[in-house]
Amino acid sequence: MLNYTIRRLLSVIPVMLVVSVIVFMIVHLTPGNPAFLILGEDSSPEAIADLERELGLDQALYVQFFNWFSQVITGDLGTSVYSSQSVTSLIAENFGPTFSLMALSTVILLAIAIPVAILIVALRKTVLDPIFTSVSLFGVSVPEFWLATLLVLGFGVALPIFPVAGYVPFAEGADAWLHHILLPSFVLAIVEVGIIARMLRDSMLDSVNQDYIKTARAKGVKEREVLMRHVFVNALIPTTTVLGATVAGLLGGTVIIETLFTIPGIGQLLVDSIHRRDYPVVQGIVLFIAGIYVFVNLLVDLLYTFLDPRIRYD
Amino acid sequence: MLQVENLHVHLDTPGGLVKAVDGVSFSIQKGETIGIVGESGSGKSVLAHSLMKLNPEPPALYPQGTIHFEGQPVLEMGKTELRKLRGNDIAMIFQDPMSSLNPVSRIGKQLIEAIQAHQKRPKQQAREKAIELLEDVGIADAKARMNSYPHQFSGGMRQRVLIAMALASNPKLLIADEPTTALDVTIQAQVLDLLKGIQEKYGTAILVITHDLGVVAHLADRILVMYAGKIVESGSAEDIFYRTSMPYTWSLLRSVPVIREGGPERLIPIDGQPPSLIDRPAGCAFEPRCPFARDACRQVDPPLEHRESNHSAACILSSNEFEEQKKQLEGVLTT
Ligand SMILES: Nc1ncnc2c1ncn2[C@@H]1O[C@H](COP(=O)(O)OP(=O)(O)OP(=O)(O)O)[C@@H](O)[C@H]1O
Ligand code: SF4
Ligand SMILES: [Mg+2]
Repeated sequence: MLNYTIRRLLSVIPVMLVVSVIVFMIVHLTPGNPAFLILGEDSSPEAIADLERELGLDQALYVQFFNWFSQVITGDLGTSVYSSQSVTSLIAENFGPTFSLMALSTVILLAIAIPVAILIVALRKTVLDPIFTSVSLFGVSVPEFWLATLLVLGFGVALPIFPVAGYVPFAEGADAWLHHILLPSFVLAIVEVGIIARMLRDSMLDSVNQDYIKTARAKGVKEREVLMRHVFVNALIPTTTVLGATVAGLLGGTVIIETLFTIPGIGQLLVDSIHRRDYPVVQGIVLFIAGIYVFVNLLVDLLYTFLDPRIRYD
Repeated sequence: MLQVENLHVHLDTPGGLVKAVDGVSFSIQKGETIGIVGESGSGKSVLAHSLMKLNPEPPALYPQGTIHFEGQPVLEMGKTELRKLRGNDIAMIFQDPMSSLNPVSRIGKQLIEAIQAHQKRPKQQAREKAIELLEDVGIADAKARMNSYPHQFSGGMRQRVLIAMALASNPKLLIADEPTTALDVTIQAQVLDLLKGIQEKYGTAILVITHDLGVVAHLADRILVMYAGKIVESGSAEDIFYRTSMPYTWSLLRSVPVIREGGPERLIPIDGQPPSLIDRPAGCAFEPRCPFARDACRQVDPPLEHRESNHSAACILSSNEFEEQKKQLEGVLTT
């Protein structure tokens, strides 16, 4: 177990190395001269050349990469061209709302998907089955953005229970924080609910026909207990793998949600920085997001070993 | 103790209605050991599962026949009654010990669950009982093994754990569906001895299902031979082995590997495939593969009839006719 954890942690290093190269390339090989874009169309060639020198853009690409990367290793992601603030502190300032969104929507996601999947499986042989099947079929085929818009219109505009914009940090009161973050988190989560509920339901239906379920029934265990102790617990294992990608995918969703609800998070900072051609910030954020992605998947892997003793004791 | 009367079990599959069990009757007395033998696909498992109504429904249907356990009609039992029957009165161990234990749950937990399903015992007591059960089936260092997961056991050990689990509530009948098929030969004998020992110690009736005649020869007081969802011959082990009265049983006996001195093992497989259980042929189901078949066999499906005291067979040939024909055929085959 410890061995596995250490091995898994070490494997993050090459991944992050490759990620940094790719991030750097994407930003630097995108067509367009950053200095020109920053200074605007009327700027003189001298001014552009000055700025290029200042930003180090006149150096060979590999030198630029080396300079940037040796900074990154020490935890220094550079300085914003726009605000002259360090990128690390910008990310730190904006991470609170993004983290809140991700954490809360993960909770909402699981709180809806798990009971829905269990209910579908538990009621599969009753008169409710066709009703549930058609409702879930409807749920899966509804476009998520439509549902999200509906939610915003419903609970933000028609019944103005929740604000449709703005953010209050947790430190300034849990009530106000929750009030502002609940609707966007819900919208963010609803997009992924179908994926997780379906995966869990399918895994549970797979598990229902396994020999060990037959054993449990033959022991005379109550059907409800068979479902929870045996079917559900085993179905969690395959579902967990999907959960990693899903939670990481929520991070991508925050970019849109933050813009939509004007929440000052990482996503909004990224969009603003792209508009401002603030390359050090863009680079830093993309690298940071990639880092979170890797980290979430690492967590999920460790969770996986916790759920599956066959891996834990290998 | 257990009476099965004209039982029919159908499986409603997309390919058609599979008549997996097609009019089976037999009974089991207290403490008796019965063996059911037959090729793969003859309906043995479906029959065994029916005895505690364990076939998944759908696809299983019980259109005809009854099962009574101590006078109670099993097929008419509701959820709660079935739950009380399963594991408590009738317990079952399955074909594949590798997949029959929950892989993510500790052995001890699974045993305790079996105990607490029928006995109101506090956790600690249930735990002690679980350790006793493990010791009973010959698991060394039982106390420590309680915390192991199934994958940390070998196949034979897992089958022992499953047997321990089945014994949790002292069942009156233990159904063993191919308990040794998935195991190594040396382990097979150990598991069979264990079952025999349990029978002697607790007086549990055992229904052992197998396609291996060696297994039933070792264990059973009475043997039922099953073919295409029907019982085609039944009798004592002597009846079946030495007074064989039905061509299918005869073929089955000949298909058992025999080690001859100086030669490799010889085995005469039964030609052809078992019939489809969806469209049963009109006559005897064994007719296409039967070396003794005659025209009449295609018209009538011979019922199971008494031959000697407790020996029955389903074949249009009388025991004497069959004996003669068999001698002729064996004469031809050995020359
Ligand atoms: N769940 C099911 N759905 C559809 N058909 C089934 C199902 N279970 C069994 N059958 C069919 O029923 C027939 C009898 O199967 P059964 O499992 O009882 O055979 P068996 O004698 O136990 O064979 P084996 O030695 O392979 O275990 C077979 O034709 C099989 O294909
Ligand atoms: S009835 Fe005919 S086909 Fe069937 S087993 Fe007897 S001899 Fe063979
Ligand atoms: Mg079987």
